Amino acid sequence: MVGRRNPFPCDPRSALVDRPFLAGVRAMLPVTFAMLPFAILLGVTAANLGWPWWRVLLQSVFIVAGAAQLAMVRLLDEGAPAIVVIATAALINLRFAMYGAALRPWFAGAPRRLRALVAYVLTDQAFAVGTRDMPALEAKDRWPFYLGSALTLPVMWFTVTTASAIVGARLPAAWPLEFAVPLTFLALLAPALRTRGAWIAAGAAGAIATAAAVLPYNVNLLLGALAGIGLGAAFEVKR
Amino acid sequence: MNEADFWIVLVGAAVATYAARAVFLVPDATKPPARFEPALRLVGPAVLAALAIPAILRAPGTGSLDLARVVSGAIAFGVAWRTKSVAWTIVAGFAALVAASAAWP
Repeated sequence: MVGRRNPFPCDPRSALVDRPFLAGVRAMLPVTFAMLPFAILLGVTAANLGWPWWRVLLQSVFIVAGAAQLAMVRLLDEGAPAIVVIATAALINLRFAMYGAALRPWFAGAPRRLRALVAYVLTDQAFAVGTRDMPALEAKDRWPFYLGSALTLPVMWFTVTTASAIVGARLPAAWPLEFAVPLTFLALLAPALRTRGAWIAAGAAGAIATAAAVLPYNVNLLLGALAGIGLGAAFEVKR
Repeated sequence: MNEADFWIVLVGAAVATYAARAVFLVPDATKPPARFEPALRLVGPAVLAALAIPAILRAPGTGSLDLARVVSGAIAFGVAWRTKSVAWTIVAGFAALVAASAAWP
């Protein structure tokens, strides 16, 4: 997500003469650069845990979601049961349902096959950039802009995760890369805190996930997120 | 790692992930049921916080709370709040962690 003060400024409208797709690509470039450490971290981690490069490539193409992929790599290495790994990935990625519901009105007139592609490349970053920039565009430019921005990130993701898995096994597991991952989620979390219910959900989820972090198989993530959603929803319904 | 496990997990997680992405976007007429809407809106903040906060606060290896990481997490959150930028948040978080680790070794 990139705000007014982003270090690689680019105005999506400036390139919008007749090339909204390219304008979308341009709008996504800074975000794509910011995700490079995460892509490298995933490839290196998987390689160090014995994954061949083609497994990393398949996983990136099938899942297209970094947080869930990293959780899957770690859980499989811990020997977690398949059902726990699938449930964790499903819960981490459940937020895409919310993004899809919010994006639906923008693609009301688009053919179904196009919407199927839009869904495949729906990411935190595509949602954030799309909802930020699409209101300023003319209706006919919106879906090419969205596709340009949303397709850019997976292209980098497939390439860099796979390349990192190929070279990765020879690199030391460097701690600074590790810290970039939660910072990326923190940067995506901040703009999502628009209501008191969202603050309660995030606060409770973070506190419980931290307190329960000693439990095996990353179940602290499931526990914290479900408790946060429950408490936040209870607060919003009561009002 | 077991080869069969890898394939089961890959396909299972892929189906669940695409289902979440597509459920309200691809069919011609689906809308989230009204009573699930508050919960659905909170999935993003709750999952992102549950992913980010333990990983920021707990020192790698030992898993204990680490003062330098608490301070740099707070600074990074302030920057995220102000700039809404992934790049600036990572820069600020790293700078704060380097400075704080030097202050409290």
